[in-house]
Amino acid sequence: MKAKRFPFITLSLAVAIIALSTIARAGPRIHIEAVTILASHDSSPRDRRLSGLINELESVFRYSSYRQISHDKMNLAIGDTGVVPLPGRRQLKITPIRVSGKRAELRVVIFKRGQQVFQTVIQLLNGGRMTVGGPKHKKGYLLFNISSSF
Amino acid sequence: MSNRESIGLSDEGTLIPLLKKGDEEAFRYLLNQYQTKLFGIAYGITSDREESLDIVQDVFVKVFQHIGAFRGESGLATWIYRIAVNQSLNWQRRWKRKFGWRHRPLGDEANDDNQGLILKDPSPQAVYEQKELETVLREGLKGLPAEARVVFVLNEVEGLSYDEIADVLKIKKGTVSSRLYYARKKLRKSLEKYMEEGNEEEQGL
Amino acid sequence: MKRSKACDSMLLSRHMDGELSPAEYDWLMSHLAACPDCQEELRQNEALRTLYKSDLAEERSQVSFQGLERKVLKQVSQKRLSWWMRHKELFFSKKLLIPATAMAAMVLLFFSLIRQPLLPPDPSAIITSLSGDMTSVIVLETPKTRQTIIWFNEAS
Repeated sequence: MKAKRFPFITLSLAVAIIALSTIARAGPRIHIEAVTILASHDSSPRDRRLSGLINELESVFRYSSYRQISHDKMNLAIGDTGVVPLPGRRQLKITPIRVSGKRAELRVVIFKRGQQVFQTVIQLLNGGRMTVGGPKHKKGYLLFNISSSF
Repeated sequence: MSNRESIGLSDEGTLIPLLKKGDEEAFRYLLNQYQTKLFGIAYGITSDREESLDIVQDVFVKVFQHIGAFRGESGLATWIYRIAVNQSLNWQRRWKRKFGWRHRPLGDEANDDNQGLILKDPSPQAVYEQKELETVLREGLKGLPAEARVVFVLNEVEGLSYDEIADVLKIKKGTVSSRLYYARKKLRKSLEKYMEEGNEEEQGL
Repeated sequence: MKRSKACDSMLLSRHMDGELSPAEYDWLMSHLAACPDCQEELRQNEALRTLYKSDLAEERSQVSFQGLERKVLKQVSQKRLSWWMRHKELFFSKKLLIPATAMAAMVLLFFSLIRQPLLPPDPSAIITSLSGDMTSVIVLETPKTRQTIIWFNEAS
């Protein structure tokens, strides 16, 4: 009986070790969220989904309206690229480069009609968020609020 | 009481904060100051002694319960009179809805004690005539629209000025004046027969 | 009896209540002196007042205001007591105690959290490179949480 069990236990341990080593080699996965916002001087009511963020933005910007256009969530391994479609034939591409201490290094690139118009590399705090803004859209400006956690 | 009075319970600025704190002596002072006045208002509106006593009780309980919310936008007396008028009118509405107005026959009135009434001529005939007049007056009051009756009562019972009545009822001073005029005209009309008789007697006719 | 056009019952009524202006009062006095109708109306108004007051005085004389005072004080003290009894039961009931304890714990937790510094020690993002087809770029930081903001103007 004992002799029959031995290969099964050995095999299970081997599978577990292989799986763990694969995960370890793959490195941490970075959870990234990108919220696309249209800031304008409209008189539209406050977007409740942005209630926490608006106060923060209003400390810097002077727009009367902040409206959420999209909210994308990605779970990316180091080196993977997440793509967020944006209004005005734009794209936002985010690629985690590495994790260093309490920050994740991310490459953030904005494309417009296939052309790269903006590129930055940032080290974002674990659980932190930052905003990239400026592209004109309709009667306002687009803001991309990016957060990461790992 | 006299000690407290000397330290200014008659002053609303002293009395109101004490009432808000639930001071029993201050409340007792308020009771003494207002109970006969409120009875007069309630009785003028309802013409019912027992109901008026209940209304006065309710008014004081309301004052006790809501004095905390009294912000002094109007005077304390105005606020209390307003509660009394509303309570009396509510009673009247309830009563009318249930039973119609209760009438007391003249015979019952004549059997009431009248020790408090001072007559020039205390003969049984004079007492009876006085009672009859009062009954006619009460019936005349009942016949008045509530708006006119309330104004008449506030004016006659408490001698409130037109401004004060306007404040209690939240109406214009001109409205007070015209309602009083209307009430007097109607009441004179209901007492016309007796008034003219009295006049003739006075003139020796 | 026909009344003179000058007779004004409303003025007589206001006179009863001392609500006339000095000019109105002077006019009415001179009119009254010569107008028996208005004299009669005034007399009737006064009689009405006397009658009403005497009726009310009689009613008041029938009432025991001391008894009324006792009743009111009793009722008020019951209200005072019943308020405390109601709230006492509520204060010590499990229905309130459990949520109140939970709420107190949450409040304590909240205050222990906000006692920590509100500002993160570092900006949320450190920019290591920045490039693109832009006419201008500005890097900002929000005052409260030091969120990094990059604002750029696209080249048209």
